[in-house]
Amino acid sequence: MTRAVSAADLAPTTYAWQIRATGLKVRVGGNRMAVDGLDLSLGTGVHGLLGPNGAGKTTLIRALATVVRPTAGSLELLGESAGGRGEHRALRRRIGYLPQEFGYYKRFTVREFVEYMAWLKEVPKADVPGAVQRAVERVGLADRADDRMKALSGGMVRRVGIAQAIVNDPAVLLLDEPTVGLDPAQRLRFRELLQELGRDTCVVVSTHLVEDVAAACTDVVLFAEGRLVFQGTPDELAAAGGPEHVGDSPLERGYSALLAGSGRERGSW
Amino acid sequence: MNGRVARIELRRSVAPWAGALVPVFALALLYLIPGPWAWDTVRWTEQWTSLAMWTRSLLVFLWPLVLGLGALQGLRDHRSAMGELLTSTPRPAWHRAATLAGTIALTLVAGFALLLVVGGAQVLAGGAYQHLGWLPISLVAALALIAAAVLGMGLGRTLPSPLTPPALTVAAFVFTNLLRTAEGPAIPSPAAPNRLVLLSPAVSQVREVLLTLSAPVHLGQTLWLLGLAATGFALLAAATRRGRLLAVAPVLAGSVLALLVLPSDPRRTYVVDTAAAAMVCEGRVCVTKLHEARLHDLAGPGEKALRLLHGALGARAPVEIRESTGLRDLLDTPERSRTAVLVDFGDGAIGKAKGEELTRALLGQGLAPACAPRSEREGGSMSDIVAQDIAAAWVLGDLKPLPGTAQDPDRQTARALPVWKRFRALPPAEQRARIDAVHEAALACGDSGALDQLPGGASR
Repeated sequence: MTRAVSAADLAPTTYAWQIRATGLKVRVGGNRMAVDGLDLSLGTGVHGLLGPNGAGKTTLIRALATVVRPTAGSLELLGESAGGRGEHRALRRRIGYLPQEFGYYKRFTVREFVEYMAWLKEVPKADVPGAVQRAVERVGLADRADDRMKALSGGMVRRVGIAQAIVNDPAVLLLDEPTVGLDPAQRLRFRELLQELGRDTCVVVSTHLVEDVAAACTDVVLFAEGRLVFQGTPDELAAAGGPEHVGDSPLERGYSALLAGSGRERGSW
Repeated sequence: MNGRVARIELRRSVAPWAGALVPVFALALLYLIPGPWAWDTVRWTEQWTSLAMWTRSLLVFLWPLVLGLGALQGLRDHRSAMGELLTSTPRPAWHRAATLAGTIALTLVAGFALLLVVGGAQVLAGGAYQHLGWLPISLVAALALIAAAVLGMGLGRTLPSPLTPPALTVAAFVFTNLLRTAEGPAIPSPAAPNRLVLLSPAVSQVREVLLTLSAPVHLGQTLWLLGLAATGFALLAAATRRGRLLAVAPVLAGSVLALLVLPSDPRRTYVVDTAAAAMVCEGRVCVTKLHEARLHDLAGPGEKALRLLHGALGARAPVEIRESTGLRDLLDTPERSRTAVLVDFGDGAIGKAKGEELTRALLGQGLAPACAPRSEREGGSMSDIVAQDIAAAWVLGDLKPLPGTAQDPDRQTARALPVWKRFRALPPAEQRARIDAVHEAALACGDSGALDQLPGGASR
C-alpha cells in the first residue's frame, strides 16, 4: 500500500532535532514540578525513557504530546514551539501518542477505532483506508480488525493503541508504557516494530523494563525527579555500572549506579 | 461531515436506538393503548393537522426519553477515558460533536418521518382535507427531538455521572407534564403561564379538530429549541471551563427571544384554521372544508330532512344544514341556531349514520337540537335523545332509536315508548303544539327540557 507523497514530506526539515527542550518545567496539580528544568534534544531513532515511578516520565510525554502546556522554559517539536497557546493543529497531525491509560470506545471494532483516530488526526481522506489497514497489520491485528474492542485481551488493546498512534505516520511517536500487558512473544514483535519505526521517526518510549531498552533503543534517557540524569547509548548506560551495583544485567547495574550517583533513589525499596 | 466516520457513528452510537425508539414507542402507544387518538373524528389518522398534533403531543414521553438517550451518549468519552487521547488530536472538537450530533439528528428525523408516513398514508387514504398547514407543527416536533438529543449529549458530557441520563429523563418528564395543556376548555388552556408552557415541545391532545397552532408559536418554539440545541452542541464541543460557561448563552438568548415572540394568551396559541373551517355547500347543506369528504353523503338525506322539517314546523323550520364550527368547553351546551340544523360529526348519531337513518337523526336534531353535547368524549343525555327519537318519529310515523351514541338503543326505546304512545293518543293539533314546545325548549336549553314538553316525559 503506497501513500501519496505530500509537499510536507518532500520539504527539507528546518530543524536539527525533532524534540528540543530547554529549561523545560511542567507543573502538575497544585505546585509540584513534575518536569523541573529539563534540557533535552532528541532526533530520529528510538529513545528509551527510563526512570523510577514518579520521575515525571508521563508528564514529560504528555507535554510532548501537547496535552499539558509547559509552565516555563521552551519546548520545540519539529521546529515549532509547543509552549504557547493555540491548537498546534499542524503539529498534532504529525504526532502519534499512546497514553499510559489508553481509553477507547468499546463498541467500535478495531478497524473503526483506528479509522476514527485517523480522522481525528486529519489524515487525508483518500489515504485513510490504506493507512488504517497498514497500521492494523503492523501490530499484527489484521485477523481481528473487525472484532469489537471490548472483545479484545489487554495485550491486543495495547496493540490497537500502538496502531492508532502510528496510523498518521507520525514524525514524533510518543509511547507511554507500550509493553504493559504484552506477552513475551508480543514484546519481541513490538521491539522489531520499534526498530523499524526508529529508522525515520523520533520515537520516545517510556518504560520500566530495562531489557526493552537494551533490545530496541538507539538511545537511553534516564530521568529522575523531573531532571535529566543521563543520556547516551545503551552500551554507555551498561558501562556506568559495576559489579557493586544492584541489578541482574549490566544495564540494570548501570541504571542503579546512575540513580544512586544522582542521589535520587529515595523512597524506593 | 465525513461519510465514513458518520457511518461508524451510525452503527456504534445511540443514533440507531434513538431513531428506532421514536416510531416504535409512538406506534405502540397509538395502536396498543386505547385512547382518544383512536376515536373517529379526532383520530390521529383522520386529518393532517390531527396527525401532526397527536404525534407532537407524544413528545410528552418521547422528548424526555430522547434527552436521556442523548445523555447516555454524552457519557461515552468519560466512560471510555478517551479524554487524554482526544486532547492530543488536531481535529477541532466541534467536528467530532457535529458528526455525532448530525448522525443522531438524521436517525431521529428518519424515525419521526417514518411515524408520519405510517399515519400520513392512512390520512391520504381517508379523503382528508389536503393542506400543508400541519407541516410546521411536525417540523418543530422534529427540531424538538434533535434539540433534546443534542442537549442530552452536551449535559451528559458536562456532568459525566451514570445518574445523569435517568435524572435528566425524570426531570424532563416532570417538566413536560407540569406544563401540560388541558384539552377540556374550548381553547386548550394550561395551568401555568402560557408562554412558559409553550417552552414544552408537547402540545395539547386533539379535541377540536379545527384548532391549529398559530405562527408566533412555531416561531417562538423554533427560537427556543434552536437555543437549546446550540447550548447542547456548545457543551458537547467545549474543551474549557470558559467554553462551558459560554455555552449557556444560546439557551438564554433563545429563551428571551422566544418569550418575546410566544403569545401570552391561549387564544392566540390555539387558533381556528380558517381555511379548514370555511364552508363548502351542496344546495342547502354545508360542511367545513375539513369534512368535505362527508358532504356528498350528507347532502341527500339533509335535503330530505329539510323538506320534512318545513312540513313539520312551517315558516319556523330551519332552512339549512350546517356543520357547527363554534368552539366550546367540554360538556358545554353546543351552539344553537333557529335557521340552521347544526351538526357535529363527533356526534355518532349523525357522524356514523347514512341514508334513512341519517335523515331521521337530522330530523331529530332539527326539531329538538341536543342540549347535552354528544361527541367521542361526551355521552349526551338520555332525555335529549329520547326527545329527538319522538320528534323524528312524529314526522316519519314510526319510532326508532338513534344508534351510534353512548345511549343504548334498547334503553332509548324503553324510555320513549310510553311517552310516544301517550303522545300519539293526543289530537293532531295538540301534537303539533307539543312539538313546537319541544322545539322551543330545545333551542332555549332552559330548566324545562325538550322531553318535559311531552306527556309523561317529565324527568322522574
